[in-house]
Amino acid sequence: MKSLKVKSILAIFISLSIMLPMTLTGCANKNEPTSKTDDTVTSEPVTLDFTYWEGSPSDKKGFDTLISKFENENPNIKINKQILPSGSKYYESLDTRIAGKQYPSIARVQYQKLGRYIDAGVLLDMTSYIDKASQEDLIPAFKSAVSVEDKLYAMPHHTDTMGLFYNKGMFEKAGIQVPTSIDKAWTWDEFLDVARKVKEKAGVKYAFTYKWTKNTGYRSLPFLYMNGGSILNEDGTKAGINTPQGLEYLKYIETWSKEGLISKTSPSSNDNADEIFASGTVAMEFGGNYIMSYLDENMKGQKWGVTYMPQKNGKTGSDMGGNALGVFAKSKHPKEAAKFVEFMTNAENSKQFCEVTNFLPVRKSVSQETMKFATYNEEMKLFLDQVKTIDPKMAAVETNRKFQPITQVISDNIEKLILNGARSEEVVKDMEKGINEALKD
Amino acid sequence: MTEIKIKTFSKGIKQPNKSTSKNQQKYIPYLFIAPNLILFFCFMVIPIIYTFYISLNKWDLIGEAKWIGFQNYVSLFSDEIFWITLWNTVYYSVGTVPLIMAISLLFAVLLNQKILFRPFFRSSIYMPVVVSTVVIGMLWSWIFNSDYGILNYALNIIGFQSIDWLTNSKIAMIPVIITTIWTRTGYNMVIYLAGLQSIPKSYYEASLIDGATKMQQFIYITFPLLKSTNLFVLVMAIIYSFKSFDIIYVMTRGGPGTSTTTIVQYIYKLAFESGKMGSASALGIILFLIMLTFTLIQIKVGEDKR
Repeated sequence: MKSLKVKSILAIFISLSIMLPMTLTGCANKNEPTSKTDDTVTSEPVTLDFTYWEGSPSDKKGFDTLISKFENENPNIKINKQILPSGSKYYESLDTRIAGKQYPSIARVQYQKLGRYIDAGVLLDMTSYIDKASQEDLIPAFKSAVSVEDKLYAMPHHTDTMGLFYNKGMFEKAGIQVPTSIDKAWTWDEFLDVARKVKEKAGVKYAFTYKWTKNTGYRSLPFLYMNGGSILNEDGTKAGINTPQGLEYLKYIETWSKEGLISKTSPSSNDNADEIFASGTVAMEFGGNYIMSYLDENMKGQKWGVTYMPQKNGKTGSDMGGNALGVFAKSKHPKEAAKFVEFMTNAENSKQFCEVTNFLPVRKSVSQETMKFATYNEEMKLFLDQVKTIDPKMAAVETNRKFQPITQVISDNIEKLILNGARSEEVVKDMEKGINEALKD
Repeated sequence: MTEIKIKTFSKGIKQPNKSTSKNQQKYIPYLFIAPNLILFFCFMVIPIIYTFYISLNKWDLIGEAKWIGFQNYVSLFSDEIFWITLWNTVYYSVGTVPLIMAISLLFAVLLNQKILFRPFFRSSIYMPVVVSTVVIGMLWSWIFNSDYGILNYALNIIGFQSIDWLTNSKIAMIPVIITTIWTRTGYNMVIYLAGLQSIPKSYYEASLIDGATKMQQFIYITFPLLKSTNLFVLVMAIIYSFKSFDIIYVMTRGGPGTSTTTIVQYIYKLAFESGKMGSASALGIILFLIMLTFTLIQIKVGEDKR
């Protein structure tokens, strides 16, 4: 009898001790972090959660150096590095944290993903926290990318851009010379001729590939904007793709596909364009400056070079890559977080970051003459020329609050041209319809 | 038979003192299942109820949710892509389940015999189960790659044209199905092996005396006695195929177009790529109801058998 009672009490105790921690961790609703309202930087020790990803070892070096420099200058602020894997998983985990009101203090965000966060009202209006002169120093395309109605919701940190990579051996075989300066860049027609020639003479399966996979169909937009087209109308309320310029842009892609010049690499697929180029299946790749170290590691026995994006009627353009740093309005120490962002993005530190990581600066005061990149100094000079050609109108559209679903529409429709042999006259209508639907809900 | 056993067992406990043991029976069992029950509530019941609540809202995860009632369900049923994904899921299911069952039964029967290197063959067939499905997806998408894949390379050598395995919307489902079969055969083979080993040897000995051939033994002894194993494997394989996500995501990302987009793919796409958490949750609830139906059928059939 007695032992039974003891046993049952023991059983209750054991089950409770198992249950309790579970209920605490599993079901407990943690309190929302209260936002601090006073604007003074406290001398109390403060810890800031900084969410970002490290794209490469040099990326890591760039962040680590500057974060320890900041911590030395501000002994009361500690940066808690929260490093996540890059790509769509990064945004999933960031979104989930926001939905659960577990805001990090600072996050690294791609320009194309920024619009959603600004629209949801989770980012701090940093206009009053950042020095006016520093704001004026930003290159217009990037300032417009992070601002809504003259309010600054993030600070542009760095950028990267696309160029045309080519296989040196194959170009020699085909006897093709690359342009020597940006204003001598190939026109759309010249590029087609080059592609046809290299495909035939070098005996490759396709002439080129395009780094627009994993749902980055927006990387094709430079071709639309250099043709004077636009994805949205003037005030961004409706699709603006169904114009002669828009049709021409799709028709150009259709030609690539129809003549078998471009590899069957769909923007909606998980294919790796760098791999296709490095393996020698194609002779050229439209790719970002960040792929250079990958090419060196993977292009065994072959040499690559890089040249300018094609131009149309004297206008060229390129992709707006890179990231901004934003502060979450409801995080605990917005003032200190803004101070950290200002530190990371100021002219001196962002220059240092770009030199280490092979990114491009987003400031007017950082001139290309003074930039000394740790690696690929020569190639980076070409990208510095190319980055100036990013159309500010394209930059503004890419940070539209609905740009994520719009990207989906672009990717899905380019896929139709690449894989299904669809006609651009129909695709342009589908695209217009899809974009209008995306804007509506 | 089991029921009787339980009854006598409980009677045996009751006898020493009726009143205390009765009270104990009221809460002690619950305490013992409590840890599991709490986990089940935290990670299953509450999320399901919450998902249902989200499905009645318009929400993009990071903004404010807006109550719209059953609008998400209504628009899903009129959404063409929903029906395509439902069809794709059925296609994927019908493509994988019977073949997985047949192949794993074949391997189980073969590897139930005393053959040389039996442990090696068993473990090599089971191996894909312990490999991460993402790795499997990468591996097979390289094999099936139309430009540098080894399969097309082999086809070219023996004089066939290259096939756009993963980039042709008409056939993209086939490589995905083949990969799934490769992945799941090992797991089901082990279940079949267990089923085979539970069949008493004496049946085979008796049939041998009656002059039955191997084939007859399989048709009249092995297969009928594997009925419950078959049912279990069938239901598990169907459930797996309806839930399948990672392999398809890695191999085709649901493309080209919507040709390999299954329901779960579409849920993911709606939630994280199109930012429609409400629609995604509504679709999740629909998938939940489909799975529930399968499980109820399984329970019902299982009862009838007894």
